[in-house]
Amino acid sequence: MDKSTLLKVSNLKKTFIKKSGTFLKRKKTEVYAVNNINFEVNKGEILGIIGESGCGKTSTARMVMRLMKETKGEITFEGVNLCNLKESETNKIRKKMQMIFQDPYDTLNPGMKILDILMEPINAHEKGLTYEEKYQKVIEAIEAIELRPAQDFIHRFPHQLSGGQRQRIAIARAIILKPSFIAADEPTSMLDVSVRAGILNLLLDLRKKMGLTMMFITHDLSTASYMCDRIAVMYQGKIVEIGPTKKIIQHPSHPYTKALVAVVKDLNHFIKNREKLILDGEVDSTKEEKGCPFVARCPHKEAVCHTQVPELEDVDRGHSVSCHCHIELLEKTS
Amino acid sequence: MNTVLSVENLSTYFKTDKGIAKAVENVSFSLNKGEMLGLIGESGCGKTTVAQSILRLIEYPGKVVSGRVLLNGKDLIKASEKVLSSLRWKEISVIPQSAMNALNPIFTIGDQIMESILLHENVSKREALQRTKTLLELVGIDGERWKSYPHEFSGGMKQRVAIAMALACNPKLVISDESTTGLDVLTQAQVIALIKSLQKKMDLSVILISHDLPMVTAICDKIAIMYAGNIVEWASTEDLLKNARHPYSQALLNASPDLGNPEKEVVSIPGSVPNLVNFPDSCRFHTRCPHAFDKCRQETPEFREIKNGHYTACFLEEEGNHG
Repeated sequence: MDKSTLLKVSNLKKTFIKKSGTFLKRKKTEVYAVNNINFEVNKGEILGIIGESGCGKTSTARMVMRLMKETKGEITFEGVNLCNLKESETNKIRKKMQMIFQDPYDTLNPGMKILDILMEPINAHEKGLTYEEKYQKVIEAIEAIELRPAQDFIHRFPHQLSGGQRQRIAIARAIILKPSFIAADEPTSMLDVSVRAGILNLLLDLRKKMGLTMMFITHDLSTASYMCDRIAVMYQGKIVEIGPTKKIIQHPSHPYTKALVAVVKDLNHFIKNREKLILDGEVDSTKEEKGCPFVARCPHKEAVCHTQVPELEDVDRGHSVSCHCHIELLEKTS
Repeated sequence: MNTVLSVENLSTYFKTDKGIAKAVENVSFSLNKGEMLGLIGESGCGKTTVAQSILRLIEYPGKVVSGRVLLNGKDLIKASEKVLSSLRWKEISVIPQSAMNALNPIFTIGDQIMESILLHENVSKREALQRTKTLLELVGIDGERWKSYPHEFSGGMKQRVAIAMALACNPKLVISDESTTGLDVLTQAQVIALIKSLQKKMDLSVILISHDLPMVTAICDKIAIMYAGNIVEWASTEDLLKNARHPYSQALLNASPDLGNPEKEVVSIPGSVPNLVNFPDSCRFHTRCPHAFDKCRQETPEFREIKNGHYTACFLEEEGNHG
């Protein structure tokens, strides 16, 4: 493992069991939420994970944060394989990795004051501190998220804050232990446009000040392009394309990424050329396909796409794509 | 003029325990035949209330207190319930916010679409069914699927069914109330593409309510931006993108990242939306506006035309010291 790699995920897999049928004729089918994914996050970088709902973005994050057990695979954080740790050891690791959740209305306990909410992680992980020291840490964290003066906020309840302020408190809770890694799961999708920009800039700012490494999950390509150094595009539990943000935006190689970029870049162009970019189709994630996961909606599919699962291949330094046809596609478009 | 809808000084208030919430105040705009108007604003700014006021769907404790809504010259605010029900679906229809909840789970979608046709037009059941099938084909669903129940469709397809339903009686005006929110990016784009192509094909007038500025700027002819119950700016899309006059519109344009321009730095708007209960006479944006001066805190700016077809409500325009 490279020295600069903070987090390495290899062959990670998660299946859920779906039950159907009646009591006697119980049928169990496996749903592939995350299917054999590999990626690395380097120190100090922000890796964006984008994809549509149900593609396994959140499952991936939850497994990395050890909130969910993987079915198979390895997660290495600072050289330690998280998958084999005991519960008590995992708890120690949690101090270094924190998560920001999607909905700031659900994730703050309505019965607790901001001060108590922010004390919680300190009480769990830094038991030796005096009350004054803990209080000082809370004030520092609130000031770091630009809610000033901090004393005004600590005695409020979550319902006395606006959506943007709540999300800031959630961020404060994540950074209060000075973690080295943060997973942010769609932190802005519930917020209005006018406050969204503030949260994004705050996260970028914190990264600079604290040297944070981040995994940023979103479904919005333009947000990802603003925030991230590298982007991984997920589809049906698989990473279909991963690479530096610039390359993904300027030279998307997988047909799914191409369609996504087309929508965000120029919706009118997408409307006119819709059939060439993506087909209407249903996806069934219950069976492990023999072929490419995107085959049902791909306008460029060929015979091989139905029978063989494409591997993630490097096309340009650090830019990998899993598609049988990408080379021809690249030539066609350039 | 081929104006289909004209809204004049519409105000809708809600009675609350703490006082009167002026959810929509003095909203004016109009819509020509075959035009697509984007109504944009943050959550809680009154977009949906405007739509409901136009359709006369406001119920107690809300009330349309003043203004006129002229649909082809007929005032909907004064119209009787009987006149209204003859206009709904046939002249004006809605694509609701979440098709998942708008469809009745215990009837087939064919039944639900037929219901409105049978209710409003004097046709036989067989004819209605035939039309239902054609409608489904129109939105890209196999006509034979009229027998399916809503749970058998995916989110995007339910939204298509909702669109087919809105078009059932050939309306002239369709109001799409955040009809693509909650769908995946690509599905959303496909639904929008469908609405746009149908609008052209059937020469519809469409009001597209949304909070997604990039999407609206891409497909709408005109845009009205709402803030805290007021329309602050109303102009053609081109005008607005090149020359936004109201500070809120400018801030909104700067708030979302742009894929085509990665160097652009996004700026948030400081502060939060004011409480609309017992809101005093003043510009509603003054608490967050970087250019606010004394007059903004004491008087309400008038919504007026500053250039051909470009309306805004801001004192900076009157003072002539913009920028």
